Amino acid sequence: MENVWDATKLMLIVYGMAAVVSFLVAWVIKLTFAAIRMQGARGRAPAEAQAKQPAAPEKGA
Amino acid sequence: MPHIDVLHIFQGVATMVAAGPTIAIARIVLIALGILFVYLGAKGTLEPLIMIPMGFGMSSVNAGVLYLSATTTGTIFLDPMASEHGALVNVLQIDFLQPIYTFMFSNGLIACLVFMGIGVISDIGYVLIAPFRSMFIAVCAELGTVATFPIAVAFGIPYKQAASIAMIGGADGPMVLYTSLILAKDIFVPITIVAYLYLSLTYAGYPYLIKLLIPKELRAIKMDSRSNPKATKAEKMTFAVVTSVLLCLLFPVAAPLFMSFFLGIVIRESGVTQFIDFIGGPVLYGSTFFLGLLLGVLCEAGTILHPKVLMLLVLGMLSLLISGIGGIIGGYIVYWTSGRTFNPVIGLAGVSCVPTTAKVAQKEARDANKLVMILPWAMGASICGVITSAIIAAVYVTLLR
Repeated sequence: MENVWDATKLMLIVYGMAAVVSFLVAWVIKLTFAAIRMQGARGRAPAEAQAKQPAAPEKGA
Repeated sequence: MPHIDVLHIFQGVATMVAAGPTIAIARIVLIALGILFVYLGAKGTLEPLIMIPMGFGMSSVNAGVLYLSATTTGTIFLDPMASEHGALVNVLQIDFLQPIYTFMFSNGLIACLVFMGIGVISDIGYVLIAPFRSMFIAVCAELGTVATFPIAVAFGIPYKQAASIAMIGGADGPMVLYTSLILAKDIFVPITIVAYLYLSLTYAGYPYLIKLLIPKELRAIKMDSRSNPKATKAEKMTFAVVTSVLLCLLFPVAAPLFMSFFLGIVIRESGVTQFIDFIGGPVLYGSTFFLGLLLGVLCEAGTILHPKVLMLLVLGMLSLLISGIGGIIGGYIVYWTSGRTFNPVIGLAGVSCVPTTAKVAQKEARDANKLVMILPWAMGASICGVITSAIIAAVYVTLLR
């Protein structure tokens, strides 16, 4: 039952599964990073626009 | 006046005489080996944190064998074979290390605590520099962890034991302990001892592998650190929580390991200094100390004299060697695909002996060029190696348990 050929096949399955899950984790890292950065940028945009608004009439006056 | 048998007073000697030449020689060799481990640990040749308590335990337990009854011999350190409730309760009240063995060691708690400590001292920010590259290198550096499996089977070792032995290639002590406790309980002592022995030798052996496989001009390649992203604490904590939940969901059998490691990371990033100091200090070093001591005490001649020990020594060495070569191959692949701007020495750091392999990689690169700084990338690959080792352990345990 426990022969080298079966063990080699099992080795390839283990390696393949481990590689897929590892890259899934790397993808989670990228995604988390991107999501937080995007949310941060979205939060900053209205604040920047608000900061610019009162400055305009002063210039005109 | 009663008859006094002098030999019976000094039972350590009496049991040695009565046991026969094989056990007697084995005990003497193990006592000498234990003293050598203490010496080499104190000298810094071997990892002192694990080798000093392990060597001390090994020499003491093999000296301190006594008559437990008129016919049976043993020690009053611990009894790894006690499992029946009545016998276990008796042993728990007599053998002074038995409570730690039963409640911390044999259930994997000590491995999880060490893993939590590793999480606290690991800056996951290094992984965020180049997650796919780091993870690719880590996967390559697991070559020994998988390639040794069919080789061990070819030597006639059953699947479960072969997988536990192959895990030595992951260069992660707690992981080897955890896997062998679940898959190969009858030979977990020699497997774990061989693993820790070799892990403490990586510092001495891997520099030669780097010099042999990577020419000096490639070792001297400088890495561009200008584009490295800076991760906030919130980002690191989010990553740790999401990844932990995902991996626990995929591999519940290794959930304690994943939870421990990522909890360590979250504690580090939370900034709660009381927890950081406690887990990164007393918990990590206390667990490492008792892990070493228990491994030493488990090296009693009767337990360690297993016919598979010689095979374990060969396969363990092979596993770590293949993993090191796999990591360097990974480093070369990234070097070629990055337009020859990546230092291939970083590949070796994918072997997840945090932070030893990263330090070895940095030292070898700096020896080739004093201006080279590869440590952040090396640490990234090393931490990815820890994650990948845990994933492979989980796959083995899930498929073979």
